[in-house]
Amino acid sequence: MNKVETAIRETAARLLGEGRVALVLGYEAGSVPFRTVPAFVERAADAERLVWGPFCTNNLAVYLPKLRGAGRVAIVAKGCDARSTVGLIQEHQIPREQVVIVGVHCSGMVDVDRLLPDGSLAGVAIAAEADGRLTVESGDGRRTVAVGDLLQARCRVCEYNTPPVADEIVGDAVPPMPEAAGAFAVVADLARLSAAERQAFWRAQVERCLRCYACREACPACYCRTCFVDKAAPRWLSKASTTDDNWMFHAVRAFHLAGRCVECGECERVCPMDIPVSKLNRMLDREIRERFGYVAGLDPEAVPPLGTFRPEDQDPGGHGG
Amino acid sequence: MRQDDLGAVILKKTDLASWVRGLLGSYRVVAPVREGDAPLRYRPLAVAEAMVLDGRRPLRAPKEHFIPQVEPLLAFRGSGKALTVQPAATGESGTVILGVRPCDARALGRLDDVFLGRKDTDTLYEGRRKATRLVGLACATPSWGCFCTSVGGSPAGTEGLDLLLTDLGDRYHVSLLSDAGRALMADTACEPSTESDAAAAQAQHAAAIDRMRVLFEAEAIGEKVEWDAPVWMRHARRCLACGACSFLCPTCHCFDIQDEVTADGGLRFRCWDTCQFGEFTRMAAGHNPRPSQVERLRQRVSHKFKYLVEEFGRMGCTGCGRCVEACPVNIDIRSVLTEIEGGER
Repeated sequence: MNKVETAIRETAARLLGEGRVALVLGYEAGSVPFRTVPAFVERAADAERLVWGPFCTNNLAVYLPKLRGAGRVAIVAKGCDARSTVGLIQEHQIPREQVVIVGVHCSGMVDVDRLLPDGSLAGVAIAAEADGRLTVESGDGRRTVAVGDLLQARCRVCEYNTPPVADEIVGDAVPPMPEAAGAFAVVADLARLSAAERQAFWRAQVERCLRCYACREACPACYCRTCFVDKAAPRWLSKASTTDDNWMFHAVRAFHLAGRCVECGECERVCPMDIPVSKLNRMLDREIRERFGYVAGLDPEAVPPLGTFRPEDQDPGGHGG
Repeated sequence: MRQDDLGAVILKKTDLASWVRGLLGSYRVVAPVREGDAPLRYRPLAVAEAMVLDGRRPLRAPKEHFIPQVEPLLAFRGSGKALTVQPAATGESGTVILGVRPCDARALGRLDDVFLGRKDTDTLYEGRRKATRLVGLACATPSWGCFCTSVGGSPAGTEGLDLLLTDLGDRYHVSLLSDAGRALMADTACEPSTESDAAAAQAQHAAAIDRMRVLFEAEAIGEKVEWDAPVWMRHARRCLACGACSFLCPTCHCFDIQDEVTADGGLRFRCWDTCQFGEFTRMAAGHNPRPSQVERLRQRVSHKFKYLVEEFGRMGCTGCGRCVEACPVNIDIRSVLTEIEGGER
């Protein structure tokens, strides 16, 4: 067991034991050694189920709006989870006093496809070593790999691997992610394209969209009680998954997330069709930062740019620009 | 067994492209193709060289070629007495699907139960099924979510296939499983399969089976599925209510029918739908008999392992493992079934 895991368990047991929270959202062992699952811990004695490691990939903030009414909730939060939580507080989806953010310093999560590209992970055993390495044992032998070499793309460019807002923080400080300064380099190629070329790029990508809505459901900021695509009367979007309709879904969702997305990248991780969904959000985030100087998910008191109106705001897309 | 009756041949990999070119002359050929940076997908083949037979099983099953995600049923024009209705065209051209995994071929038998096994047959589905030959590819390396051997299948299973290819390095061992399959090989340069070829294929099949553990006795699970059991709540609590599991599943087949009306006519189509969406059972007046993910998860598991068994005598799962690998929150159907079997409720 690692130090951070011990600290998370102790913190959870204390918060539950003292009656400060009714529930702790964290991670517990998954069905395979390279997955964890969201855990809902309600008794101090169950805090020992909680785990921490390079497979704690889910953004747990997605559950917070669903837990309104469950009493005060503690959330084990990486930088991305904490920023999403801040967004939910700003948007009144959960009252600040109803959530205890247990921040965890994060060094990035493993991309399972990079761990074993052919998917032949049946029967694999994985042990995390203290020095940021993993021992992977399978029918094909035993090897040691560095977590840093297997990180998910979104984690390599993460700018806030230290939670910017937390009520408590566990573990030792960690260095910034090596590619954090290049957070927008991943969309540099897209940004250089003309609008028509970008349109062509996205149409080619969303052609294969299944409209399973995993991106939407995994997104903590997508909490609308009825998404516009699910409205039956009137039906805003056809249920036929044509390229036009798929693109409409993704474009509207992206606009709705402008200035709200914290680039946790869950949408892209969960996409079963490997559509680079988060690049759409990153493109819009780039605009928001340039035009409004605003970074989402850092300050529970701040008002997001699209949640307010200021006469001095630029108006590049409207009549003034 | 028919496999023994019809025998096997050897197709050298250097002859693979010319064999496929031959097929392209007579059939519409569908095969795993990589388009740009997109994942492998079964697509109509333009040139033989585009086919990718090695690597992981494609993310989407070939199901979409039998029940397309969106399928027009009829078009209408005008209104009142001037209304004209044009049914969707049937009449499929002969198709061969290459590189079908044994789990996916077996899954088509489950779709047959639903679309052909009741009083009324689904003519659109029937047309495609009858017009299509299936060329299988034995799985040498099961993926991490695979569990075909736990639901009565095998990485080298032959159910529903016309041919089964086994990759022997520089050549394929081709089991001839039907007369139609034999016809597909008729015009190509094949060698007879020797005893050592057959032994090599069998050894590979055995090795793949060995890599997979039988996890539960799936046939008996239907009787243990209970309506009010904590197992549903335990897993449903973290379910995000997306449709990834259903839409990747080779046996999930539920659909919605929609009319889209324009100024002078319209289109009636059906499209994939899933019991995991809240909208799926929402009534016109707003009532929803499956109000939460607890009821929806119970429905999906019960449908596959209880209701279909009661109706057709076999379950609606062939262990392809796509739902296991795609679930954003690692709801692993293998764990759900193991818990049900163990009486863990």
